Amino acid sequence: MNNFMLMINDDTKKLTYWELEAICRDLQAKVSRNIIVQQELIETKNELDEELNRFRLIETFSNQAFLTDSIEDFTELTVESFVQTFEQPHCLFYEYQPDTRELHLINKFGFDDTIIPNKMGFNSEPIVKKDSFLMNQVAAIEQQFVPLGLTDAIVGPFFKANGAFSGLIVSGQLKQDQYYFNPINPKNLPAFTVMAQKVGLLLENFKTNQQLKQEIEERKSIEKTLEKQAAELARSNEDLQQFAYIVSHDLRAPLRNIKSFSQLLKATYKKQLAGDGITFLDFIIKGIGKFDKLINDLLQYSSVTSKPIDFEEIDLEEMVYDLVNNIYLPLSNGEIEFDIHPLPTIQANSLYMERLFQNIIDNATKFKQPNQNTHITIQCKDYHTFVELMIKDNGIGIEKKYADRIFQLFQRLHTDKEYQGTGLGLSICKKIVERHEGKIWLHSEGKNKGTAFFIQLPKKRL
Amino acid sequence: MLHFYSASTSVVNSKKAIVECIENALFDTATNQQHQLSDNALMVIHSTIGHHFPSILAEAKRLLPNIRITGCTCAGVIGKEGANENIRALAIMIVEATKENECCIAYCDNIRGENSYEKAYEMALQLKKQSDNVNMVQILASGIDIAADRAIEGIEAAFGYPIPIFGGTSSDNMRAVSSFQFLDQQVLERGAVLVGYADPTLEVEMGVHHGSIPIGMPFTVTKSSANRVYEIEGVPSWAFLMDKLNLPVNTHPGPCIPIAGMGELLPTSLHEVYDNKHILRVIVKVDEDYSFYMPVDCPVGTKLWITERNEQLIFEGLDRMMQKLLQKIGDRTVVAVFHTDCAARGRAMFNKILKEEIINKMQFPLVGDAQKPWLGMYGFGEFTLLNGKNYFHNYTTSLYALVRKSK
Repeated sequence: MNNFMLMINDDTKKLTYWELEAICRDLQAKVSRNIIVQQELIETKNELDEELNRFRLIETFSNQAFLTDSIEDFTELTVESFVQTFEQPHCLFYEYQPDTRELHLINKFGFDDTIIPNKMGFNSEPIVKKDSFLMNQVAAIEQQFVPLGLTDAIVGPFFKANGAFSGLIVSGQLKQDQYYFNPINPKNLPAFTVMAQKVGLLLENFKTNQQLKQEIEERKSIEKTLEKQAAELARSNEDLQQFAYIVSHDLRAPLRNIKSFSQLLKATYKKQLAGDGITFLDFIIKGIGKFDKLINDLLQYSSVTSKPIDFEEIDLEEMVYDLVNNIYLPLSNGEIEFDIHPLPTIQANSLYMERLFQNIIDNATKFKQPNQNTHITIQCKDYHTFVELMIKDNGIGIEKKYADRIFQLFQRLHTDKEYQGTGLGLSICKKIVERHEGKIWLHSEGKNKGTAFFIQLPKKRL
Repeated sequence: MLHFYSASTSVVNSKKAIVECIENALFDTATNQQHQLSDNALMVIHSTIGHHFPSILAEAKRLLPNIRITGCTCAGVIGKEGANENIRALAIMIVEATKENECCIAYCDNIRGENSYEKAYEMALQLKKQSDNVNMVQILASGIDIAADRAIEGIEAAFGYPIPIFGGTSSDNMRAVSSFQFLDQQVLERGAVLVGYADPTLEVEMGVHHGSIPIGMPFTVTKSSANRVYEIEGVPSWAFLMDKLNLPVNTHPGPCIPIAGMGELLPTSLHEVYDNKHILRVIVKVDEDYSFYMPVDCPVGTKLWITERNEQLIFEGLDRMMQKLLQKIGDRTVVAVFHTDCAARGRAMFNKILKEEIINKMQFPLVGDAQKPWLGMYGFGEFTLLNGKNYFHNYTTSLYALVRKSK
């Protein structure tokens, strides 16, 4: 048997082999047990690391959630991110409907083999705080989720920006998962709360955006429909104008024949026509005259609408003087007076401009006050890019309420007996101005106070 | 000639995860297009235990109808993108052959300690039958049930020489409950798969190290049969070990994996190549009589040490391993890397930053910034060829660099 020496404070004490072996075994046991302490330290250190990693994943989730396009993508990303972040195999994402007091399942993960009801009644009263909690900490909650097979879960309520309870995220394990998954660590609750709160705000944000998107899409759809309708209307107008042009053009020839033969009939067989024959024939000829005027006006209206326009430099002052001197003054018997102010030169179609002025002056002479000369003032204001013409008379005036109506087709404010006409003159004016990309309107102080027509026209074509 | 493509992902939706992996693996950055695979291709999958395996296998088959699929579960995956030990992590390596049978598969179900030799022998024969030119074998087997040294003997006996064997044993998330293996659309629980590589232009160079140290005095196995250890120092073996660790005797082996590594003395000839005097064994299965199972035979008289992982030794050992491996590779080109790491060296030991550092220390010297194919897993055990002999061990990092032979 060997003896071993152990030195203690210069005193020498001899230990037997067995005593030394016992000391070694004791030391061995202490060292072996120290492995566990060391492992616990590693695990504590790693827990902190994992907590940090969880927050990194939450940040990634937030960034990705902003990029999702649909509510389905968002909710799918949410449940997948909860599974990834908290390493639980199952996740349920519920939205709370306060009106029906129900939880509506909007997405789930890991329940391929389990049927989860889409709706369930829910009493939100136990949700008093915003913090996440373990399912088995709140009996009312446990009662709702245990029947779905969950045995261990974290429940994260989420809220709207105004603080109203908005839904739940439930993430956890079924019984069979417990082979591979550790029980849920309550240390994960704060991170779960953070992520659930984010989900609440993101969901609200998402829904608002979704609503806006929907509204924009609806508006776009309405705009499209309107555009389509406008295009259809334009086409239909075009067709109508074309039709009107063709009809009026083609009607003129037979009408001319009827007129000629009626006049010939009257001249040749005047004596043979007994009784009211001549009167009836006069009615026919008069009617044909009106019809001819109507067709002429229609033809003009159609041609203004459908034919391409050639633009040229027109000296309006010269044009107006020509009209006045050649048409109106020779026939006026001194009953029409003109006051023409300086007028500019603009780019326009000369024929249409003449027609425009002629129709308005005709209007002024037609709707004159009885026993009064017609006084017409023509003047112009020059703006930078456009001119504003005013043709003002002292006629019978127009009631304000008719100011727009009289520019419409066949709209007349008087009977044919009072004032003859086709109801197309001002419609043609409006069309001419519109074809020149201008505006026309009138102003009248009322009955017998005259009428002023205002016409804005661009000075140059772009 | 074999070509390799790899990818890994942390996407938790199993279907989306495999789609992402396949798309990323086959994306050719040079042409900005997906590489069109030939009909002779194989996919090795490593997945953590939380994934839905049937979905992964079905989606892989849907996307690549002609591909053969194998793989196993693990505690974490390691790809060129880094390590990922999430409960749902996935990594793949696609191996494309230009000729038929350049890579071939053999598999078995119900592999156990007592039949490991026979099952491995039969699988190796199947490989030989498919190709005479198999020059390296990858093994993926149940980490809980296999007697790995018997399996090695079986494979070597079939080939008639120590053919390089690399790979590892499957695991769960360190619970040591069950692990799974994949074969096409099948999910096996106690299976094993051998992949034979028959590309004459390829060689495999391996590196290994562990970085654990034995604590105090050894204990002697006093009663055992093959890999089942009944007693240590006359006491039921698990009860003895738990007492030493001050843990209750009914403690499950899963949580003990990080702290109950068993060391065995290595022959002197292997001290340098192994960078340690001890080889390590893990205990993942305990019987009701408190006997436990080692992954290799453990005859009466075997001396076992409790060991402790040492951070400094792990980092230093890693550097030495890489130096040796790079020396062995020389000027040959690395075309792909397989990697098995012990589950206890993952999150049970290192945080994310340290793990990233460890992975970088391996990947950068081997493949630089080239993003070469890399498939690794944190499993229950590792196979490595050392000094011309195949070994199985635990608690190691084992790297297998596939290199093109010099012309």
